[in-house]
Amino acid sequence: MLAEDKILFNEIKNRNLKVYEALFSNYYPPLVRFAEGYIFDKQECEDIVQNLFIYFWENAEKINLDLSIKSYFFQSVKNRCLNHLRDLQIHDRHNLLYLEALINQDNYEELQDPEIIVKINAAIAQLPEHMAAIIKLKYLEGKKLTEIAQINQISENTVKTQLQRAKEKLRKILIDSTSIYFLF
Amino acid sequence: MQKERTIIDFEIIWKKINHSTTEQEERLLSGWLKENPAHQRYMDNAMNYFHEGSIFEDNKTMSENAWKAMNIKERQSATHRTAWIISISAAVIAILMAINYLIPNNELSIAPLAMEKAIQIKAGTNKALLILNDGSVHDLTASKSLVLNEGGAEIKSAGDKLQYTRQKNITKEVKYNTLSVPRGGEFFLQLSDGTKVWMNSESELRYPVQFNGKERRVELSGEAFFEVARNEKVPFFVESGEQTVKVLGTEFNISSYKEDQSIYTTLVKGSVEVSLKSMPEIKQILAPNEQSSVNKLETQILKHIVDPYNYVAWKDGRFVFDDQTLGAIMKKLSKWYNVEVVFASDEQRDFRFTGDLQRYADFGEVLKKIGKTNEVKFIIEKNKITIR
Repeated sequence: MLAEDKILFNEIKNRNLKVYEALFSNYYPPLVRFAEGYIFDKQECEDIVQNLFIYFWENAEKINLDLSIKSYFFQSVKNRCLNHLRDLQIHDRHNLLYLEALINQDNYEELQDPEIIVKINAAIAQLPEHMAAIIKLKYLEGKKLTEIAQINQISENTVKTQLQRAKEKLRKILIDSTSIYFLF
Repeated sequence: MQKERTIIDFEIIWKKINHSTTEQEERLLSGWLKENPAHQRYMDNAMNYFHEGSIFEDNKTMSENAWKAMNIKERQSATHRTAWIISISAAVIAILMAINYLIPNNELSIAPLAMEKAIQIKAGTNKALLILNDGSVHDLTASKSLVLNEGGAEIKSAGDKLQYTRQKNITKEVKYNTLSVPRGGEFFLQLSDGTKVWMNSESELRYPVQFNGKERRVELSGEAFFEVARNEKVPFFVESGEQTVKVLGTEFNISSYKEDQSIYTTLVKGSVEVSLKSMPEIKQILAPNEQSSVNKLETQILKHIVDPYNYVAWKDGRFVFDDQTLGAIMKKLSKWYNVEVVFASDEQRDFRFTGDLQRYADFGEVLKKIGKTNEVKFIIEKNKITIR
């Protein structure tokens, strides 16, 4: 576990409200978007993430953080979403929803799921070169739009449109490839 | 007797959204849908998501509102609670700085600033990306010019317009180009048959470089005004999402933004036939001054009489609003001025305005005019406008 995460988690155990709020404002939006890729329901997604934060705050002493705060949050939201799907009698055999959740929350580089990451990288390799380059800069290297614009000598707006197109294409490739993968 | 429970895989829902279910899957799906109203809700939400994109808007408002909601929840759920111990020590400040450093774009210090001098947001300009058949991208901005040759047509860009000229050698293979206009942009395009297209911000048009077959067909997302070159033998089709418009020779506007519930087609001159792509038997013929709306979730086409000027004035450099909500107005303006708009509460969204504004004015001027007419306050920071 990262030293920073250890310090932060200790502060949570010490009931430091400032740190709690800081974690909340950083992780709440991506987590809700992540849940949206599974559940698609505004209220339900917000409830899932809010309840997780309440649980995190009230049971900090009991929680065992193995990896990082980030992966704990995402793994927990994923579990809660899967429980919700189970109640709705929906399976996600091909991980279609998982992929949707990953793309929707915008930053998948730190998620610890090698099998899926391998698939995503394979899909990126199938994109046209300029799309692949821009996707890598944004999602693997975590570069900001302004930085990508500078690197490629294009405007920020152009970066945005290109990213949008690349994302749509990536989604199609991912879904096609998983369907094929599971056909055999 | 045990109640029956159908378990389905999400793949079936995905296929349903993409119209590719088999008969057996259809049966399974409809069984599942009938079992519980929550199942139908899930299906509706999923469809909405895949058609319209994410429901959530900007991160900051989202987490701020949720933080407030959380505090209420916690108070309700607390039976016995240790008092909050807030220790603002040097150590904590160091930790907060560490978070700032670790996570860029972090929004720890939230200080909305109202600054008059920040009102310098410029109107959109001529800019677009041209994407050729092979996927290569050319940036067309106001200052650049470009001459290309592809698929039997000459392509010329002079910075504010793109023109295709048909050449004699007809090639068998049809090549497609895409013109993509970003937020804060507009562009004029003339296709190889002479059809003129004015493209609005955040819009995309895919078209063949040269029209060879028995019909002319293009695909639009976003908003564009068409002046279709007359040719009764070769009808012109515009596809946008669920809708197909069939044209002989005429002037009309289509607004088909992803985030909107409906696709609007407004006819100025001539006649067009609007139909649903998946159910071509559902159709409406429009006469001048008529507008059709196709709700993306329902399978019907509605027709109303409108003043077409309100819907096409954008191409002549005006913004016209006739008794429209501030929510709808700001949505349009945000595309043209490329700004993010946040409403402090939903109440302001429903204020209604009527006006005829200059499209090329600075944003500050436009806001001043709206601000004068009602009790709305605009707070501007960089490219974000908060309305309260």
